[in-house]
Amino acid sequence: MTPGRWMAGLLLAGLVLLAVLPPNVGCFPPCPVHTTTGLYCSGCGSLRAIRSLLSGDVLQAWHYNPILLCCIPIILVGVLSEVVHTKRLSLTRIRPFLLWVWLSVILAFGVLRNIPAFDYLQPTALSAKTIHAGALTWPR
Amino acid sequence: MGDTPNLNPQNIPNYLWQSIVVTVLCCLPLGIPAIIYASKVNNALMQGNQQAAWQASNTAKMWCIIALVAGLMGGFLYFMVFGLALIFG
Repeated sequence: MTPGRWMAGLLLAGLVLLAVLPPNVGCFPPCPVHTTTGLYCSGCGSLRAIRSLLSGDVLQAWHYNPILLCCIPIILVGVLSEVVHTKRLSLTRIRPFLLWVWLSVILAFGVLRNIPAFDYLQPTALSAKTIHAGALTWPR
Repeated sequence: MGDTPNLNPQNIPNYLWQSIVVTVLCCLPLGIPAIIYASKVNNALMQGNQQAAWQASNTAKMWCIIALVAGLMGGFLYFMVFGLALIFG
């Protein structure tokens, strides 16, 4: 059992847990960055985005956290490469330069969503009815 | 220090997908070094330096686990403070 495999198992277990738990259970953890600093980091809204995805609402997921949606393909390839060990799937073949670009995109998104002119990038519920992971108990 | 099972460069993991998951889901500040070390693995592999690749790989793994534990701890603390208050309060 490689570390990569049990990490993949952990991720799948988390997804199953999210799918099974009722949406308003209220014990979903908030983003630690947002609770301590009040700022929105690049990951804020990603848990709610996954919940929206699990209930089939892709548009809502996009409005909670677009970066998460963009990361999903690479995560899927990574998880698949833990199961099928082929050279074609290996993420070690990505050029380091591209990883730096992607990291910059993630960080730039985190900066932008804290600037008032770009506040539409903050996690937003599209309608009052779409209450997802922890939204009820989010500390304001 | 660290485990080097077999020196087949194809088997050196860079923990990239784990790094991205912990960055967006657990703890952004601790996920950043994980992504940086993942890119260092790729860099070392391209240069054919397997020793450096293994070292970067182990460091990337360490940061992933630190970020994961920080995320879980944060969630647990949050539950202890707000969850229990909601249930019993």
